[in-house]
Amino acid sequence: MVGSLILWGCIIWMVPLLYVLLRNEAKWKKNIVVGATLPYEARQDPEVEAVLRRYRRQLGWVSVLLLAVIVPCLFIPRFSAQFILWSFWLLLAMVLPQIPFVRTNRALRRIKEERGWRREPSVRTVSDLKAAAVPVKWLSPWWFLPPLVLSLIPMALDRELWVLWLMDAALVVFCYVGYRWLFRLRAEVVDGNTELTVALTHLRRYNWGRTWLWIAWATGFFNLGLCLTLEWFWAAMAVTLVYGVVVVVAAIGIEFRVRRAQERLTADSGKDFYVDEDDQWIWGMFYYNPHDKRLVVNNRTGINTTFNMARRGVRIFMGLTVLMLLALPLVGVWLMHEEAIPVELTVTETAVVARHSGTEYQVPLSDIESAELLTERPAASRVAGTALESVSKGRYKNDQWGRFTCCIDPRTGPWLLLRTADGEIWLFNATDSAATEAVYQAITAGD
Amino acid sequence: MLLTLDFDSEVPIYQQIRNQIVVGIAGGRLSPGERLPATRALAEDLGVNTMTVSKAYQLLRQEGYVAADRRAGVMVRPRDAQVPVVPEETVRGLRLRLCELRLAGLSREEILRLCEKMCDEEVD
Repeated sequence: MVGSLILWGCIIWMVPLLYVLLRNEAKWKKNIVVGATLPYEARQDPEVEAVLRRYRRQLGWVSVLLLAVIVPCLFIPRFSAQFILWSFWLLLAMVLPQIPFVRTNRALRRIKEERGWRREPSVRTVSDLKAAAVPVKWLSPWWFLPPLVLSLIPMALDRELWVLWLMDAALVVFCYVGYRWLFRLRAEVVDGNTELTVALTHLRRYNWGRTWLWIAWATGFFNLGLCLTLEWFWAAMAVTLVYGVVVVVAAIGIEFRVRRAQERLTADSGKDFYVDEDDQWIWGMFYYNPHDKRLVVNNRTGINTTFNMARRGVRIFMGLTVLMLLALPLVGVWLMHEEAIPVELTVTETAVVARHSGTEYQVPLSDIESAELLTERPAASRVAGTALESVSKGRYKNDQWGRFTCCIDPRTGPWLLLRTADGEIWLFNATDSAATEAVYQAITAGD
Repeated sequence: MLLTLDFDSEVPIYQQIRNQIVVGIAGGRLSPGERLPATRALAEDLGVNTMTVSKAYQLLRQEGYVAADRRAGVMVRPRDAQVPVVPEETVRGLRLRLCELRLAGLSREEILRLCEKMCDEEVD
């Protein structure tokens, strides 16, 4: 049950988050509402208001439905079956809330056509020369160095898990890379007011940097905190949870602050000339502009970025991402297969061999110093490896032995404890109890 | 000053950039000494190739509308330093447009009035 709660806890927050983000799209920012650019007069149009009310209602219903579906899923006994449902739910949670958005965007565009609000076909790009000439001030890379150093400290403290620590440190480096290169240096032109364009551009650039810096520092502290608490499962979980909350709250907090500022700054815009790039945004959501050479473009509101779908590289990347997401339920099928395979334990002329699925551990008979048959399964927590109901394999640890290698079926005893000359500890058994006892007899027969 | 690129137009992009900057200078929306965006910055902003912007700036420099400095970047030249002689191409273009207006049925007076109106709108 704990595993299930953690599994669902990792993604359940997506629903309220998407709800508030998408609901916020119904507020006017930069003359855009739900991905459609409309003139100032549209803000008081009864039909537009009705469409937006319906959008908010539909969004609420979709979110409630998605949350309600989770409750019965929690009571499904097998982890693998839960994982399959979890992955399907994840796909639904990403797609379903977008449907009201797309429908509303299309309805607003229809109203735009009917009222004659549509400007000339916009295979046009507008730039403000004065705003574009404002020099860009990037944050110094030195700001990212302390979190990088923090995240590398665990490499010295725990060399066994150096790959994990290195990956976390790479995340800090990615924060700088993302800050510098996942951003399009384009002025935020809304209308002919250059001061407004400069203010909006500065707002986005400044907060973009703040977001990445926050994430970099949080990642640095997380890496260190995780290393220091790794021996205590719940403490490590708490550190991970705090890290997740800090990153999400900081990113969302900044996003909403920027959106509020955009809303305030452009409250009076759209009365005469205003920039309309709707024709370059499919469903108000996907940027498609074959005349734009850049891969990365800024989202129309907020601080986030997106990709230009007109570029072949982007289409390949997005296609692969979608394929990976669609293949997620297959991981559940693989887990089901893993659960069904029994753990085997045999002894050859030279070694004790524990085997499960594609994993095999061999302990040479000549290295074994002692063998003990345990009737009670020792308490242990996973360091790295697999922990399913029918198999625990990989590196585990407990207070009694420290870290050890394990390949057992936790449901059936007895368990064979081996100590080797190099000080290593091995815990094995087989799903078939008789096999475990037979191996123990074979090892101890010569004593 | 807003720069609008029309990708459906038959006029090349670099020419559109050049033309609009010239109109901007003539109309006072770009004042003498004002800095224009760096080539890379403008290319990034418009989503076009750096070479396109570079070509437009090169043309403007050759025609004397802007001056380029390694440190200060590209700047609008002071009015007295601009275009010492009207380029021959501009005169040829003007002649062609006048012929087109004549063929469209406009009288000499109507053409002059139109020119005056445009001068009032665009030029200081």
